Order: sequence, then C-alpha cells, then structure tokens
Amino acid sequence: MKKITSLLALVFLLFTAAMQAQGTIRGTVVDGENNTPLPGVNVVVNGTTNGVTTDFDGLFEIQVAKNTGALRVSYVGFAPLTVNFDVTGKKVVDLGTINLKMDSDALDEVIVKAYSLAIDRKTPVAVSTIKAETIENELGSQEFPEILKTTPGVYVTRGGGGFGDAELRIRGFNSQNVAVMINGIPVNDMENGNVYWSNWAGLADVTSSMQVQRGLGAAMIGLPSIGGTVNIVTKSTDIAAGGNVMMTTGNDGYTKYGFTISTGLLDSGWAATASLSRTTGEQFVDGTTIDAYSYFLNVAKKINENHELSFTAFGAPQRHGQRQNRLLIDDYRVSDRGIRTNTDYGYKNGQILNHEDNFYHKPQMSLNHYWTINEISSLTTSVYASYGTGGGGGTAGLNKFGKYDTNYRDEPFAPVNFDQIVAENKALGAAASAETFLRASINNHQWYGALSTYNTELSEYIDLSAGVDIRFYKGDHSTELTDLLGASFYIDNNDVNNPNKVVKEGDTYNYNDSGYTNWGGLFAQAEYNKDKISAVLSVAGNNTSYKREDYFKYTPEDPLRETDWVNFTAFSTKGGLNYRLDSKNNVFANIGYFERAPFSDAVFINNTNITNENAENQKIFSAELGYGFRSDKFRADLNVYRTKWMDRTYTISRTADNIQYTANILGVDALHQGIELELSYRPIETLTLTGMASLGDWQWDNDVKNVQVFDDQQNAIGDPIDIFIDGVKVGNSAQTTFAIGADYEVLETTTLRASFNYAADYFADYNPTGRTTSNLPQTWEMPDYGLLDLGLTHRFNFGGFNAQINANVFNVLDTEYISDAQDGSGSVASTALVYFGAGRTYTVGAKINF
Amino acid sequence: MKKFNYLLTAITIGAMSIVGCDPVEDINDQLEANEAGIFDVFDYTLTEDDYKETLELDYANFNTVDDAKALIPTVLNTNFPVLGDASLANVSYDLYAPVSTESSLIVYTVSTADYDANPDTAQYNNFDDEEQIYTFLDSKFPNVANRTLVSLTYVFYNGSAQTLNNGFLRVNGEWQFVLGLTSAEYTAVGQGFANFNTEDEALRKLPIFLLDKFKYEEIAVNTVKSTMYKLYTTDVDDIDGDGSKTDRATYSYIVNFIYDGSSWSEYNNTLRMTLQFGNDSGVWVPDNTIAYSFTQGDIALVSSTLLAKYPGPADNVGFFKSFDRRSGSSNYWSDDMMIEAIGIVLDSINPNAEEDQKYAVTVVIYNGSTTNETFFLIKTDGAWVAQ
Repeated sequence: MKKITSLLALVFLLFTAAMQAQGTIRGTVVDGENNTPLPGVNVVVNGTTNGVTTDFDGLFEIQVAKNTGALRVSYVGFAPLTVNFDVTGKKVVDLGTINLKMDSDALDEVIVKAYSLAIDRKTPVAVSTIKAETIENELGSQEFPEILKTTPGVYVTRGGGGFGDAELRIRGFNSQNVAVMINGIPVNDMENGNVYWSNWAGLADVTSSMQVQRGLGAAMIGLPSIGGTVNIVTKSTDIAAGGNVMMTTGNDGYTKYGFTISTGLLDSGWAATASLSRTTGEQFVDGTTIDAYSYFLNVAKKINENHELSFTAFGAPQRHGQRQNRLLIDDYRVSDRGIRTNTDYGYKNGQILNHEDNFYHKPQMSLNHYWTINEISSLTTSVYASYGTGGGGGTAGLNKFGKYDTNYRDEPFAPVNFDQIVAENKALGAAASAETFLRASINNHQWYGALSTYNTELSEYIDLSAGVDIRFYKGDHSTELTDLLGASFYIDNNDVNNPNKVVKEGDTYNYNDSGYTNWGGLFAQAEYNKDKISAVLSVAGNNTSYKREDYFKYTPEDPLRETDWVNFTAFSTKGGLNYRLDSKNNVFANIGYFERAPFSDAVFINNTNITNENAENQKIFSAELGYGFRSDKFRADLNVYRTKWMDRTYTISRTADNIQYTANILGVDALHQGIELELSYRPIETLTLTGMASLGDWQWDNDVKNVQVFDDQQNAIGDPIDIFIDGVKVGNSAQTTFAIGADYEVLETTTLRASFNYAADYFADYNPTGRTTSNLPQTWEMPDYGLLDLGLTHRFNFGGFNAQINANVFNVLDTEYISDAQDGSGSVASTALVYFGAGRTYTVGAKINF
Repeated sequence: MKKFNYLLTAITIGAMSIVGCDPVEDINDQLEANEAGIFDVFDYTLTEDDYKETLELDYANFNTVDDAKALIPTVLNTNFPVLGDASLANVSYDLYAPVSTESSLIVYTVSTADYDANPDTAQYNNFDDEEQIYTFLDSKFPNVANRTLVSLTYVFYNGSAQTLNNGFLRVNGEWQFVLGLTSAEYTAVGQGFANFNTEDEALRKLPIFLLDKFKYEEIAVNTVKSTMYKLYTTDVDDIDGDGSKTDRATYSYIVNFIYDGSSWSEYNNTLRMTLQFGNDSGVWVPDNTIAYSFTQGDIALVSSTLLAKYPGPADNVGFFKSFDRRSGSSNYWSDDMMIEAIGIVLDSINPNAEEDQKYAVTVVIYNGSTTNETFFLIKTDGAWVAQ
C-alpha cells in the first residue's frame, strides 16, 4: 500500500515538478452566498494543466510559470470564475478572497433561461435547490429523488423497493402531475405522464444542480406541473478538467463503481465529460436484484463568442427485480422475512428468478445550440431524441403465484418453486399448450423533439422570450412471451389475423398496438426587472394529438385498425411578481391557470380503437404567496399555496348485451392548499442547521351526482351513480412533513450529518370514483413516522490526490414504517395492502479526485 | 465549539427519543391479539375424566343443560388450550334425566266387584277409557307409598275386550303408565308363559319387542319408554299374600328403554346430548353457527338478483366469481352489500332458519389478490344481519 502511495505521489510530483516557477499566488475561495470557505475547489492556470485544489479552509497556493495570466477557479455547482494575475516583480501575490457564486444564480444566464431554472429572490416561485455536493455526499444507495425528501411539500417513496422504482409526489400530486426536466427537456412519459427513475440511474453522478419548483414553476413550456417541477441540470462546460473514480458498497451486496472524466474547457473551445458506472447487488427488499450500467457523455464546443454547441447523451441499461404486490400488514408480521417479504420472485434450477421484473434502456440524446445573436438577443435550441426499449415482466396462464399457495411455495410468502411449475407444464405432455408461463409487457418508444427559445430585451427593463416546443412520440405496446417454464409453446387467440397462434419464447402475443402522441406548443414570456421588482407573465398554448393503431384486434382491411387523430388544445397562463423589500427580505406572488389534455388511456378506453371523443381537458388553477429572508447566517422561505384541480380525468364503464359503454366523469375536483417553511441557519462556520415544515390540506372538493352511462342511442345503461368524495382526504402522500438536519464539521477534514424526517396525515391510496355509497369513512390513515439518517464525510490526501470517504446510514433506528398503502375494506389497518419502507441500510463510498 | 458538540448530541438524542418507537407497533399488537390462531372444527365427547377430574363432579353427567353450557367451556379450555378464535366444537355430553322405577310392588287383577263399583264400568265389567283406570286406581290405592308399582291386570274394551297387564307407578302423587306385555305378546316373543325366565332374557327381548310394537310410529331420538315385564320367581316379599316367602310367584319389574333412532337400549338415566360451542376471541360460548361456503350457484344467484341494484359489482362478481373488496374499485362490494348478498343466499338455502340462527359464510374475494373472507350473520327479526 505504502509503495503504491509513494508511486502515485511520485507520478503526481512529476506533473508538477515540470514547471518553472515564476511566482506564487495565494487566495481563499469562499461560497459567495455565506462567505464560508470552499474546500476542494479547482484552481488552474488557464491554458495549462497546472492546477491545485483548495484546502479545507478554502486556501490555495499555486506556483505559476508566467508573470501574467489568468486562473480559472471552478467548483461543482458553482459558476467558474476567471481571475487575472500579475506576479511581475513579486514573489508572492495574495488574491485575497475569491467569491464563487452558487446555484442557478451563477449558472450561465442562457442556461438558466433555457433550462427554466428559478433565480433566488427574482423568480416568483417556491423553490428549493439541491447542490451537487449534497447529492454526492448524501445520496448513497437511495433513489435519486430521495435527495429531495428534506424539502417541503415533497413525498418520495421507493414503491415496491426495486432499483429505480421510486415515485416522487409533490403537494399531494403523484408523479404524473410532477413535471421532470433534464437540461430543460421534459421527460415525463408522453402517454401516461409517469417518470421512471430507473431510466435515469447514474444521472446523480453528473448532476450539477437539481431544483424543485413547487406549484406553477418557472418553465415557459406547457408542463404537467400541477404539483411542481423538478429541474435536473447535468454537468457541462462548467466542469473543470479532471475527474474521479468512485466505489460504493452497501447493505445487501449493493455495489457501485464508476468514474467521471472531464477535459474542462480547452483552448480550442472543446469540452468533454464522460461518466460510466455499474451497479449490482440487491436492495433492502428480498429479491430486488440490480444489474445496471449508466453512461453519460457531454461534448461541447464553444465555436466563437456567439455560438456554442453541446451534445449530451446518457442512459442506463438495467434489469432489476421488483416487488409489485403489496401485502397485508399481518402478512409481513407473520412472514419469516418480515418487512423484506417479497412474494414476486422464486427459484428455478437453483437460480433466482424474478417473475416481476423490469428491464429497460432509454438513451436520451440532445444537441443544444446557444446562439448569442447580439447584445440583446439570443436563441437557444435543443433537438433531442430518445429511444426506449424494454418492459416489465409478469406471469401468465394459470395463476400459481398466490401468496398463500403452499403448492408452489414452501410456506406462505416463501419464494416460488418454479421447478414445480416446470414439472407440471412438462407433465401435460409435449403437445400441450403451456399452463403457466412468464411474459413481459413491452413498452418501446421513439421520441423526437425540438425546443427553441428566442430571448430579447425589449427595453432596459423588459425581456421577452418566445418559442416553440414540438414533440413526436410513438409507443409500441405488446406482450412478449419470455419463459415457457418447461412447455414447448403456448396457443394464443388474441390476434384476429392469426388464430390459434403457436407462441414461443420471444414471440409477441396477447396484444400488439402502437400509440402516437404528437405535441405542438407555442409559448411567450415577458419579464420585467427594475429596482426592487421582478415580474413575469407567460402564456402558452399547445395541441396534443393522439392516434392508435391496433395490429391484433383488427384485420388490415378493418377501418378501425387505425384511428383518426384526436386533438386536444390546451392553454395556460401564469404570472408572478417578486418584490425585494431590502437586501434581506423579499415577497412574491404568482397565479396561473392551465389546462392539460387527458391521457391517451382516457381517449382510447380499454385499449380499443373506439375513441372517447368527449374526453375533457383537466383544468388547474393555482395561486401562491411567498416570503424570503436572506442574511449571512440565516435564510428562510415561507409560502402558502392553493391549487384547485378541476375535471380530473375519470371514466366509468357499464356492460349491456356484452357491449361496453363508457361515460366521462366530469366535475371530480380536488383542492390542495398548504403552508411550507424552509430554514437554514449557520450559527458558526462549522455548523449548519436546516429545517423544513410542510402542512398540507388536500381534499376532494365535491360530491358528483347522477353520472349516467348512455349507449349510442342515448339510452341509459344501468342506474346513474353518485360519487361521495366531498371532504375526503387525498391519499398517497403525507400531508404533514417536517425535517430537521445538522451538518457539522467536527474536524477540518471530517463532517458529520444528521437528518430527521417526519411524515404524518398520510392516507391510504384509493380510487375516488369507487366511493359510490354515502357515509363511507375516511380512508385508512397510516401511522406517523420519523426516520433518522446519519452521515459522515471524511476528506484526506491519498498519495497526492484529494480523496474522500462518504458513509451514510439511513433509518438508523431501524424504524418499521409503512411507506405506501392501498385502502382496503372498511378502511382499516387490517385490510390495507401496504409496502413497508426500508429498514436500516447503509453505504460506504470512496472517491478519488484527480 | 464544545457547546455545539453538546447541542448536536442533544439534537441527536432528542430526535432518537422521538423516533425511538415503532410506528406500526400498535397495529401489529392489535393484529396479534386478533390473530385467528390455531382453529379447528371438530366433534368431541366428554370423558369420565372430564366430568370427575376437570370439573370435579361426582357423576359423569350434567344435571341440567344450563350446567352443560356453563361447564363445557372449562373442559374445552383444558383439553384444547391452543385452539383460538373461529374454532367450532360439536360436544357430546350426558345429561342426568332420571326416570323412576319401582321400589315396591302391588300385583292386582281388577275384579268384577271393582268394575261394579263404578257405574261407568259396571255394565260390561271392563274399562273402555283410560280415565276409568285412574279413577279406579285412586279409589283402590289411595295412600300407596311413592314409587309403588301396581302391576294391574284388567280388561280393556277397544273394539274388542282384551286382557291387559300394564304397570302404574305412583310418582309424587301421580300415576304414570308403564307399558306391559299381554299374554299374546309374551307368546309372540317366544315365551311359553306370560313372563320371562330371567332378567337378562327380558333385557334382550324387550328392545326387539319395542321395535316391533312401534314399528309404524315415528319415535323421536332420545324417547324413553318405561316397560314392565314379569318374572316367575321366589316370592321373597310374599307378593301373593299366601304367607309363604319361599314359594314362587309372578313379580313385575320396570325397565326403561331409550330410542337412539334405530334401536332401543336400556336407559341408565342419562341422555346423550350435543351442544355446539364456538370460540369467540379465545372464549368458548354455546353457538348455533353453521359454517357455509359459497358455491358457484350462490354467486350466480347473487349476480342475477342484484344486477339491477348494483350493476357494476353484480356483473363483476358474476364474471370473476369473486367479490371485489377494494374500496377504491368501481365494482366495490361494501360490507353492507356483502351482508345483503349473503342474506339472499341464506334465504335460498335455509328459508326456514330459526330466529337467532347464526351462519359463518366464507366467500372468495379479491382485494388485490384472490383470497377468502368469512362473514358472520345472524337471523334477527326474520332478516339476516351482520353479527
């Protein structure tokens, strides 16, 4: 070990000793916001590889070979700064304190605008920003959105506990209603609005900033930001030359290793960053295996002062075992495996087999062009493409997977004995169709888009932005037979063009269709900035078109095989004003109304080509007031919001004479209002205390009476139904959350962290339109819970390299808590189907920067 | 600096004390308390040890049904300590129900003078009405001791005049009829004379005689019949009043028989009874619950009967053969709807169920996965309601 250290030190020395010293430059780099020293900041002489990093007090000392030049000072999450020096005639020059500006404040203004980032004390929205350093130190093996759990209004659950199966909910709205943008590009699924975080595994390694904008958000384009918007900005030309290698290990065999390497901005104007990682092992829940890679590549070229091109490609091919079936609380209590119990995997030939799994790869590529047209105008354009391939595994045929079925499990909840199922398939004989087998629901897609925004200053105080947002999406949906479990074939009769089809492994059966979603949007925004006032007004309009083509249900001659386009036009408008009372206090207000097209499953009900022409836009009205306080040691943000969601998309079906009829349920409204507080206090330089409180009051707003289903002759089918939801609490998200945290630098090299998160007023999930009888109780309220996380970061010199160790223990007290629940009969604990959150888990990681 | 070390420690300890509890603990405790535990549905017959050791009774029977209801749970708890809620025990026990036999005997043949003493019987010198017999007995034997058996030979007119020999036992001031055999009947059971030779012979032949005698009658289980048979034996009591106690005379004896549904056997003064006990959260209580599981036909009945009232749920259960119990579902079967549906089936399978009849009905439900759920109903005011 010592030899290697010496060798590395020697290599490092060889690099540095090659220089001819002319003088020495000293300085201290601090966080411009609160004047705290920044350790590990890169200080490089421009145009050379000569560089150092700051020590733990933010101090650096660099020897330069020329008398004059410039130092480039850069740090992840901060804007790089170039400082000129002149050591002529002096041996030592002290540059004094160098302020680095943090967050989006400091990001290139073009980037800020293109990526719809909110600017502190300027953009009138409620926002929390997570720095790259926080992600790097604290994320560990947590799901990426979990880094947001200490911000108000946010509830993050790992769902079943599989890798990347997390869901982020904001202000009581599920992930379909939380817009996620990566580098300004919307990534919510075009058909169903979901965000699949497993698609973005590895992104955490290259994130330079993550913002959660609650409520209306700062984006100009039409977005489903009913709950809010999450903006993720990856590293690009702002990153300094160098890189790192990292290795993390954790509970249940979790292992991740990877590296990031970056050229920095070269004199030629090129900059490139590449990152690669591999994750294996398991999550806390039994059978949740991980087999994932992630890659990221950014190549940027600053062509000249006016043009910059940036190409980014990233993806995360992965396969992971899932837990898809919630269990009763009593099941977990009785099961030998306790809260780790997962009934969705088994063993075949001695090997683990996840019959509920997910495998996907969705490379996302974008080419961004930043054009500074003149002093007052710029144009930013992104063209992007994304190709998703993969799907989710499941079972088919005779169900032998019941959680209590001891014919196929050694005891209730134990792993499935696939050998028994194979033997039974074989016993049926070679000429028999498979009795039980495995399949996957394939959901491939191709998505192309372009987003272009033109900015100009209309006057000294007024900026105008306008642009277009075009997206083309085609989703291919089918079922693939993945494992015959010992049988030779399966006979399927769902393809009208191929009756009695003999299906083998890899073949498509059951259903096979394509959905087309096209989107065209226009937007414009005016911003006014003068003295203490920043105001913004935006309008956007978009057209969503759906078309469906079904290859199995209809013959090629059938006119129904391909539907016409069904169009929905939606408008949105929002405005806000921020008033800076003085250098410390600011207030803001925003108000907006927007519409959102229904999802495609409300248009093509029950996956048929009979279009529901009457599907309605959902409508959202939101208003918000906020207050902010900033001082050296203390910052506070307080805001109140009121979001009204009208005509949430719901449909009901009735069958008469074997024909299914459908009605839209209009008037299902929800009202979400609440108060959010976020605090940060730094009493001394080595200690930061943070706090958050979020009190929500999220309820369904009204009963809906007399919903009638009609046939095509307008004859009533069945009795009309009433839906009794007035005053019923919205489920699926904790309405009350608070968090406190402390970050304490015990030694110059060592930081300890503690964070406590509490969730309460958390009601089980349910379908509000199922409440068709009056006087039903509130759905079941889950027990309140609090979780303690502890962390440690230790920085040290490793053979001349800056290295650090991050250790995190999550749920230190091993608290057993329910993270998700589906309401059951009578709305009581004993009937609810639940997932427990993870028990105590840990990660230890080492990273060496070079 | 030190101050902040303390502060941090204090915050950590404070946080730990807040969260140092298990949020789901109460629910788990409740679930454990409500745990169905080990349950069984079984038959059990009380043993002599159960009466004498467990219950410390003097005799291996109960005096009253109420005693049985009160004491049997102790036996079940002792013998089946692990059985819990929802267990059903069908318990057989012996109930002490003594039927008197004679302690002294009067053998008497009704004389002409006796018939003549009553104007109703004077003319034909026979009885033609049972009342006349009791009138005669009251006047002839007004002050006999309790449990005195009168073995009475008399002529009874019932279409034709027959000479009968039946017993009349004085019990607490009342005469009880004891069936005797006529001479013809003794002949029919293979006797040369109108008596049996030994007690054993009487006990062997009388059950056959009773079966034959009542073969056209519907006899309820546990019916007890008192019979009187005659033995020609040493006249130790000088029953014939001739002053000799060493000669032989015809004695009459009472023996009681009980019918078990197919045959008669000597009655030992205890009735074999059964009671059902149900385990209600660990406590055994007398229970008339009938366990029942829905058939496909029952589901079809529910689906068709309720289709108009609950079109979605009724259609759904008819198709999937399971009740959707997810409250969020549009085909949700609420508890009230389930009771209504089960009531329809119970009215169909047991329309004449008595008031307070209980049922434990198991149906297939869907709550995310397919499983069973059991509903407990009771007939109250003629309608099936949840217990």
